[in-house]
Amino acid sequence: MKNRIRNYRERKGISQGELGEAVSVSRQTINAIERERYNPSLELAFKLAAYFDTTVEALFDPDLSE
Amino acid sequence: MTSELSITDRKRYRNLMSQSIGVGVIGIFAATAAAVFAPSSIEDLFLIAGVGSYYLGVVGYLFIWQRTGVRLLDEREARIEQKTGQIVVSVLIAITIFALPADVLLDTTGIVDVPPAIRGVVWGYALLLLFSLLVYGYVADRMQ
Repeated sequence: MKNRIRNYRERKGISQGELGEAVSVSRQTINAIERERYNPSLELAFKLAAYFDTTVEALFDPDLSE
Repeated sequence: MTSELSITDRKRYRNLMSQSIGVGVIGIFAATAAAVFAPSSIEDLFLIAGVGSYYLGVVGYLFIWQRTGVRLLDEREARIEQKTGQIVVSVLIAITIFALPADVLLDTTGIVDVPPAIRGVVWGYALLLLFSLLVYGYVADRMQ
């Protein structure tokens, strides 16, 4: 699933580790999400959206045609 | 929802747990090495102390884990573990489906003598599969 986590994170000026710490996952998990190798759970998606003060839809772009 | 410990605390507790295991493992190696040079009259004492140290390390690991409620894995790591388990069970199923009947057939007909080590592996894997099915049933029952 495509996402804009990296854009939001870089706009906020924080590292993957700092973002991971904020949402209680490892740096590797943030990296995997940004590289679109791993789709986060609904719970983590909402945590990320809340952290960036945005919506899940703004962060994630599911390609429903797949 | 799962544990809400910060990742800093999680790392700290995981480090403590690793150190506990590490001390135990170093203890058993050190005691084994000491036993080599010790007089034969107290050699066993070193070995017992070494295994005791190892067990204490494991107990320390479990103690910290239980008391702190630290979540060892985040969701991606848990998914990796789940996927790994699925692959291992698939391999066990494949081996059991093909190797178990072959072993019974070869044993009955006597066409080929299957080495005891291979028979042990085949039947051991079959028992492991049976065990995993029992655990699966238990977990599924608890989730209903």
